[in-house]
Amino acid sequence: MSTSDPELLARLYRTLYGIRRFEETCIQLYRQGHIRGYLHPYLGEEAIATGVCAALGTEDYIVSTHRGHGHCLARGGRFDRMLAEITGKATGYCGGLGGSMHIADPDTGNLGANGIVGAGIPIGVGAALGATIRGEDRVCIVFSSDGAANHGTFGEALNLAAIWNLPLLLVVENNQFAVSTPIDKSSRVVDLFHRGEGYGVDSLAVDGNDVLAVYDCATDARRRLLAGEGPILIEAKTYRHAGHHVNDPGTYMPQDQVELYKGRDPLTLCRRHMADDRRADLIQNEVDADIEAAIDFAHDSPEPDVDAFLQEYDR
Amino acid sequence: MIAVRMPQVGENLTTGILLEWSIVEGDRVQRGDVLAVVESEKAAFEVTAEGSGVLLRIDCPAGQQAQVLDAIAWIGEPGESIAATPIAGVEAPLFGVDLAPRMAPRTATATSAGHAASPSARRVARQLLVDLTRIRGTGPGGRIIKRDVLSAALAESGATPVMVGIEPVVEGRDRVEPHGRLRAAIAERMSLSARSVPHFYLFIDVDVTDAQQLRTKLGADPALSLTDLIVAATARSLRQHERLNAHVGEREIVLKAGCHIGLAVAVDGGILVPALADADRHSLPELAALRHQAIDAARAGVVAQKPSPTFTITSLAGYGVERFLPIINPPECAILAVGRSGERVIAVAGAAVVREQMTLCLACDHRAVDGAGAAAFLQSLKGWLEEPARLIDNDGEGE
Amino acid sequence: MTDANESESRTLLFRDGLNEALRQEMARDESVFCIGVGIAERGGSYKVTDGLLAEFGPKRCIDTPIAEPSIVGAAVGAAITGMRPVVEILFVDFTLLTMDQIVNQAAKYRLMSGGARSVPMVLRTQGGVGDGVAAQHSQSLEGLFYHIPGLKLVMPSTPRDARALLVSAIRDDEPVVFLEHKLLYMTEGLVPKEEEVIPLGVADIKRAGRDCTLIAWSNMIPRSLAAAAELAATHGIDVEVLDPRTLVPLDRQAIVESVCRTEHVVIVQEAVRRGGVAADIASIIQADAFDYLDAPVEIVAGRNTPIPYNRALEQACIPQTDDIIAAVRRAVYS
Repeated sequence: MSTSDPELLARLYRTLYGIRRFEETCIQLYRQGHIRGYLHPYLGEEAIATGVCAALGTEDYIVSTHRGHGHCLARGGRFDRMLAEITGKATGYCGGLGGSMHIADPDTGNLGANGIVGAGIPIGVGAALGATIRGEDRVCIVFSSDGAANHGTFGEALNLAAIWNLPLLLVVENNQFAVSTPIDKSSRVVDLFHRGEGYGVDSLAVDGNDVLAVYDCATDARRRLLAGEGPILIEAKTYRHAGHHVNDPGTYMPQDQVELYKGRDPLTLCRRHMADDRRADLIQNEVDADIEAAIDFAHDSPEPDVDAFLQEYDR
Repeated sequence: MIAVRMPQVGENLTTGILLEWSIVEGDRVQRGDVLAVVESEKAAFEVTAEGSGVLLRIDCPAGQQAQVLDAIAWIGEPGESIAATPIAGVEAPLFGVDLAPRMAPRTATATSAGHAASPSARRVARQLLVDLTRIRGTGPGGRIIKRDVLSAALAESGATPVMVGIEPVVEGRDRVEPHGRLRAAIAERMSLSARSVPHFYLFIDVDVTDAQQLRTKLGADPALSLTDLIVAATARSLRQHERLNAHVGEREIVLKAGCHIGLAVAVDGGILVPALADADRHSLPELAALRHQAIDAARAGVVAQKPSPTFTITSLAGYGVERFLPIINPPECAILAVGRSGERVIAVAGAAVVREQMTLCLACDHRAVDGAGAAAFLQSLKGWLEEPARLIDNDGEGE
Repeated sequence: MTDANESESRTLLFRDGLNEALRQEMARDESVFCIGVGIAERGGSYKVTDGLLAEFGPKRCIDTPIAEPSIVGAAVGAAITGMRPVVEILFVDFTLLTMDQIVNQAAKYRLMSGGARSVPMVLRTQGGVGDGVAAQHSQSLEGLFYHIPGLKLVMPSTPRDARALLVSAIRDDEPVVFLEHKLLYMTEGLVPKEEEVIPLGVADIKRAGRDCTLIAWSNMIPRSLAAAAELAATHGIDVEVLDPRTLVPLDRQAIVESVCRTEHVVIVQEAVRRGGVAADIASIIQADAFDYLDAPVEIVAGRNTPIPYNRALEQACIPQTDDIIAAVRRAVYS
């Protein structure tokens, strides 16, 4: 049982804490004017990306959403190159051309965040399809949201995955708000995993704040996908700690629910499993130092060259 | 010096109010320390220090409003002077920047007396020196069109403008061959060149005895021809006399950076002039290979558009022609015609000797090139060809 | 372009030229696969993919339910992970359903990822007025794709061009919209026996001429050639018909060179006049060949209306041979 594996717990905690501090840092940098445009913090949802990505092999693909920093970091993204990308610098993962909503690192199987809700699902289907045609042993994890669940591509793409038996894991991060619309106003059935059943897809729900539960669930799902039992849908229920994006204070979120979920903070829940408190503190200090270094890296990195950009892309 | 700025608080919100400062001027702060609290329409926000230092000056006291991202305080070391620094990453909008247009705008050519004339008509009027004000246009609304200008030119001069020919007589078993695309292009181009470029011609005899010996000695594959040596020699001379490596415009000369030598190649239906790109940077064997490629491509009807030639060489040596006057290939400023090489009896120090020689003819555009410059170029060219070992010493290096 | 030599060519239907290209490329490169509604079992509504299922199997020739956005999205995902999908959307009118995946995903992925991956997919579709298939199945929508940076756009007019350009499109590393015309599938032409590649971005002079340049593409090429024949025979006007073949990237140089020679130009497009490709080509000619225009650039285009069902009305909405003839005569003041 994973609870008794201190190495795993340490790894998971490092990722959880890293995402938390990274997002807080991004908000700060945004306030200071170093990040422009849209920023969708993953605060409160860290356990989902952490638990799922920890269960993956190096060859697996992930497809992310607009709220993609957590997925990117959990998949092995570096603080410094991510901050550089989000601040528009040439040393960023996408050379400063993608920004927060399009951050991608295809070399580590991260096919990218996406600014269009639901657009990543068919793309993930395509990646899984390609792997199947080539006869490879790899799976594709598509992170999507409760918002995407009502979008056309959700049903279409899930159906394609089903009829083609693709090794696809669709993780529905149900943080119970599509921007500001609560789940019970946008769907009669608030337990979204039921949607998969209609397409003949194995579907289940998991506590999105419990990183070990997510990890165990994802590990089992991956095993079954590689055995040809795919696709699989996992709904992970969770809650944002703040609004939809950095300028949305989330005043529409009922205070009692916010408090409830903050009381089940994924970081706290994970830490409780860890016998060695000092190790957790050590991890925090290391991560804090890495993030400080990443801020410096981003600040010191150069802007992309305008002429080179036009030369390459103005066709 | 680090600026402390009114935080970015949300789209469409341009100001914030500073509620309170948690430190005072003179305090030392670390990166990440909370310095103040501000408020916008929607919420309150903490302002944290971006770096460490001493809070030197507060520009926005408690209770005051400031524009988002404006400096509200300064952190530095005591004694530093406070200079406003632009915020990195917040650029002026791109459309405020004057992006240099990629195509230079054409100067407007005004018509005289308000007569509307098509651009073609105006161009032809310039070339034929026809006065537009004296023409009645037959186009819609009295627009002067090209054939109006041509008719006027015909009437004015009484002579035949080159563009309007006297019709050929077709009778009996004569075969009419309409101009193909290539023929038409050559006709237009050569007419233009003959008509509007003031040509002058220089002749020089070149001793190629040593060049021929060197050529045979080198024995490359494909075999070097005399043309390859001429190309190499021409390229080096052009580097020494850059004004011959130029294009000529109506009001300007363009000194070309690259040395691309065009070779006139006879093809089905006409001639094509493929360019040997960067001829000054290739060795003799490379030039021979390039020449073969270019000729094969030209015969297959394929001539790359770029780079365009900067200087052309045309040769009738293979046909036994001694010397000839070439027509410049516009917009180049000169062209070299190569005659046949053969044994000649010449006088050297009072005695008759037999040497292998050929005659070169250089035609130049007098708008851009003068006699002395042309002659100096020819002299250098002769020098390279008569001491051909130098061509190898400088193999492949531009000068 | 060299003419197809009679003895080394054979007559092929346009749709069979496409079929040959697909067959050849799928045999050559196992990352190439076809996907679309009804393309496998049935061989496609226009039979372009006929026989591919039998030859290459169900993993390389895939039938899909009617779910256009996700079919194109799947092609994008496959393309960024190492495949070369050829996705068919049966009518260009249906590509409107897939615009997010084409415009926001396929066209932008290379830039958004900072060049980490490109999207080597081909989107095959067909458009144009046919025989009474009415408003939602008759559009010419190349203007929409022309306007999206990150896409290439090809519109072949002959079986030979179709075959060789589809090969190039499949081999291209960027997303290509390959826009066929429903009335061209059953037209015939000489196609060389051996494999041929025509690079994207190279125009073709279908008929050399002296007096006027006639720029047209897709189904307007046969109509333009007919107009040119009539103009020569009856009015003594020698028209040069130029087929860009690829609209993005456009062979500007060939267009400008031709117009500078003839000094008169007519552009013909089946698509609606307002905002189409012809207007952009006219602006290019105006900028680069200004001093060589003896007349304004003429555009003959579709009327600014959806296509009606009634036959006479339908035909009144798109350029006919007589319209092209009239435009050329206007341009040369004849």
